[in-house]
Amino acid sequence: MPVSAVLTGLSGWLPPRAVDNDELIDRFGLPEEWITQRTGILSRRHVDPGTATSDLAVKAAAPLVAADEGPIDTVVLATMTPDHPGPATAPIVAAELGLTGAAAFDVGAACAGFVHALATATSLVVAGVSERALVIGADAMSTIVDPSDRNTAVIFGDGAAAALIEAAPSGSGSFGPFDLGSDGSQSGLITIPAGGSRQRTDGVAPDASGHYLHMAGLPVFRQAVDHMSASADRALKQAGLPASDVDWLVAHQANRRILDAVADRLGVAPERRVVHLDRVGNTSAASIPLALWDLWRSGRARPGDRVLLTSFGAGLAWGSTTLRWPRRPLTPVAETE
Amino acid sequence: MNLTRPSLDAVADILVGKLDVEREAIGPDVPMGELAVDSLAVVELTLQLKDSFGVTIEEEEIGLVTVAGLVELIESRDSRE
Repeated sequence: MPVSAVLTGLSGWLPPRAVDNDELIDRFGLPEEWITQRTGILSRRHVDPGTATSDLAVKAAAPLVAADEGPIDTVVLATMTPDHPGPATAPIVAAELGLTGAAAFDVGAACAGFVHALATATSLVVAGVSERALVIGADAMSTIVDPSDRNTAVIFGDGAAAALIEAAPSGSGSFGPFDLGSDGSQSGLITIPAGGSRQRTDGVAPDASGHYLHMAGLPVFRQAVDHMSASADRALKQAGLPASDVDWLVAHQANRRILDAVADRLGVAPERRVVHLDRVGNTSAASIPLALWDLWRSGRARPGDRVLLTSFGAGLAWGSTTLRWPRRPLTPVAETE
Repeated sequence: MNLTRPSLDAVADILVGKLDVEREAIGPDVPMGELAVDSLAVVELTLQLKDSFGVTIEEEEIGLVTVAGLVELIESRDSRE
């Protein structure tokens, strides 16, 4: 059988502080239903002061490293909230995990980052560059969300999750072809304007809001639905899989209405849609691995089940793939949620 | 993809089935602005009109027409004979 990259472990971590809708309804003076009707989100988690993205990533990945089933030679971290503009956060995570010496780098594709990181890591494994790779999605979105912007404050939450990828014969646990894409002409739709060379070279000091996330909600909604459904469709076609055979749709947990619009377009039945955002909000790069982790812990997925992953985020960037649910148990972990 | 013929009933079905609008609230002379519960619903509607009828209606146009006016707008963009 040809060697492929298979999923052999999943682990997630959420910071303990829950920010329920009541708190935000009070803060913004919103009607009771405002948040749930628009987003389907009931609660989200925020990091406590002093907790950065690398801390989230280390908490999420530590159980997979502790399981110690072989050396991990690569750490790929998807994030849009790195610890600093430089260096990358992945080497810090690797060192904290006791993996100094491993290849470690960040992937910047925002909410589509995990699927991009997965494509990178699986390709490295299939090419023989890596034997066992840790793919982590981690974001401390509360550190870049403007607390006075109700449109983003209600949506985003913090969290991290990690997947272990290793070489094995293709079969259960293996990934199908990836569909990745971007449209940089729309980069202004979701942006953090300050802190990079564009703002610095303009020679104008940023105002306070420059370091916050700015998102044009309505165009993003439309682009998210269009690009996720088209990208997912291409990934299904490349895998030779009809949408009717999809057992689980794990779409980026952007917003319940985006998720449903994508699933409706693809023709994936409501009971096949994995919904995690009601409890954790949109956790950016962590959203897909956290939803996979939630699916695994729920015990609903059976070995061999066909899973469709699709994501969309700032860039614009999008990415999709398919996965056959692993036969072997994924390294168990017990964490608070 | 099989496209639907534009009609008052076909548009009403979308409003009821996809946007949770009460069927009793829908009539030819009702302004669309009174039926779309929020701005996201307008985006959802334009996506659905594209899928169902194969036509592109801009979000800004939705708020300017009645239900019957929307049907006419769809018909005017419908390239089929």
